Amino acid sequence: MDLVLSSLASIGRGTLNVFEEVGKLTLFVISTLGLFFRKPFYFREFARSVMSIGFFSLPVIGLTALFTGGALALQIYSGGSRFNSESAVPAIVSIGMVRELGPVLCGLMIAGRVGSAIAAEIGTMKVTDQLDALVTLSTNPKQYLVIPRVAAATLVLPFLTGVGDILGILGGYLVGTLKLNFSSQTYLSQAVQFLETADVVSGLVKGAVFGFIVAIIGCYCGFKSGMGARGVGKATTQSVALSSILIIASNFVLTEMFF
Amino acid sequence: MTTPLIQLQDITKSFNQTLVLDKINMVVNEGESLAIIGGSGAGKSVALKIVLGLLKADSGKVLINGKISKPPFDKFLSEIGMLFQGGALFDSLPVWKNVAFKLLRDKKKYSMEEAKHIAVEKLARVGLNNRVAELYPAELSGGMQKRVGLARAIAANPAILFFDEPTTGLDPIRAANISSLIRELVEETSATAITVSHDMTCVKQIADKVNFLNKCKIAWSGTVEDFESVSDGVIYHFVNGLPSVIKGGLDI
Ligand SMILES: Nc1ncnc2c1ncn2[C@@H]1O[C@H](COP(=O)(O)OP(=O)(O)O)[C@@H](O)[C@H]1O
Ligand SMILES: [Mg+2]
Repeated sequence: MDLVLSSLASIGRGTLNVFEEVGKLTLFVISTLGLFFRKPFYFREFARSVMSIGFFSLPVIGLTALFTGGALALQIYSGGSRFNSESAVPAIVSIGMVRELGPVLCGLMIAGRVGSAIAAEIGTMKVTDQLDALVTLSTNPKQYLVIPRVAAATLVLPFLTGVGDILGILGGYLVGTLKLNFSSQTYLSQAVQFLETADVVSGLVKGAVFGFIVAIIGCYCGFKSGMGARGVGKATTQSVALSSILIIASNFVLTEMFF
Repeated sequence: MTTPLIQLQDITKSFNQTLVLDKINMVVNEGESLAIIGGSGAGKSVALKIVLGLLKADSGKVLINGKISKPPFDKFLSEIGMLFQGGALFDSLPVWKNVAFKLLRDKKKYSMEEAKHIAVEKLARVGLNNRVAELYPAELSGGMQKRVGLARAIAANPAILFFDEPTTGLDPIRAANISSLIRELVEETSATAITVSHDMTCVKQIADKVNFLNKCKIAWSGTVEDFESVSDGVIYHFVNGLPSVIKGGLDI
């Protein structure tokens, strides 16, 4: 009986914790959104974020997309050849990249590279009193730190996604022409012919949403970081786990919406 | 009687059921230099953060000029300067931008050049030359970071200055330097000063009045001279740096 009660209690506690966390996150997002329309906008921080999120992520995103596009071409070829549809490889690779893999890979890579860095930076600022210092210098820490990062990530991710799409298609092209005996011209025309504007737009919108998620979760985890190096480490890990889950989940919702 | 500049009334604060401050009362008059002292972990920084609105008390009131202080604290914060225990400098900004941070917020009042000029001036005031102005905080020693923090605190000529453990982590000579610098700055600007410290030498140099925090309460308050001449109990131990205090066994 005791065992039953105590396990029920721990399930209950776990559930309450989840709700509490969701509630806190929601409040954080709402209070941040409110600040978007308030002056001042810290342009220097914004520019710095654009550089660190956008420019310095290009190699990671590019390589990931290139190899994924190549692997995708091989897989689709192997699947397609079972019912004589090898010719669909270029079209499926590009549609798959643009609608799904481009934005998702981009989001996940950014979660690992940028979300964690944001959480670590803000967490460190918290444990070294820099957030309090901002307040004593008449500066709202959320406005100074969160708004520029979220704005930068939301604006930059569609671009990164676009780059990822192109390199993914290029990866497929290289594999298709060098290994799968497609002629260069056939591959390219097939790859573009079946692509619709809606595919591209939906992929870029996804990118923007994922950028928003990564930046706001990174900031949220940083702001609620516990004390000491351990606290910051935990905040960093949490930001990656939480934003990855939210990216995958919201990807499903968005795909469903654009379906 | 004039209204005190800052007044704490029955401030209580606990973290996860651990009581840190138990109904403490405190009065700071304009132009005074007050020290809050006590062993480490006594709740000195917490008390300071409550005054600044960085932490919320569980109960009790903070009065500023006789009026209850409640959020937003913008106006009060615009009149203060604070030196944090670890300096709390912003790593991503060069030293001079750290110092000029508050000035740069107000673009209408100061141009970039003016702000930089003032920052360099304040840095010189705390004994740092303009080569340091271009460095980043990570490139400075602990003592230099404290000085930069000090320059940042006084940059906008605040009427009230807060110092959290200004000498902790410094060697005795640097500690004495910082203490006398703080004393000079406070007198120069005729600011009201509140210093949190567990370093008696520093307190003697900076403060006129003392509030001694022990076991979640203000255990003693009065002038520095009277504090030093208390001849028994935990205060005597504290003033003379005897082991019972250093180990944190603060029993009266
Ligand atoms: N944000 C916080 N969360 C939980 N406990 C805290 C927090 N800040 C301070 N404390 C606790 O309150 C007590 C007093 O801390 P503090 O005011 O920093 O001491 P000090 O007198 O050395 O400045 C300590 O036991 C510390 O662990
Ligand atoms: Mg302290």
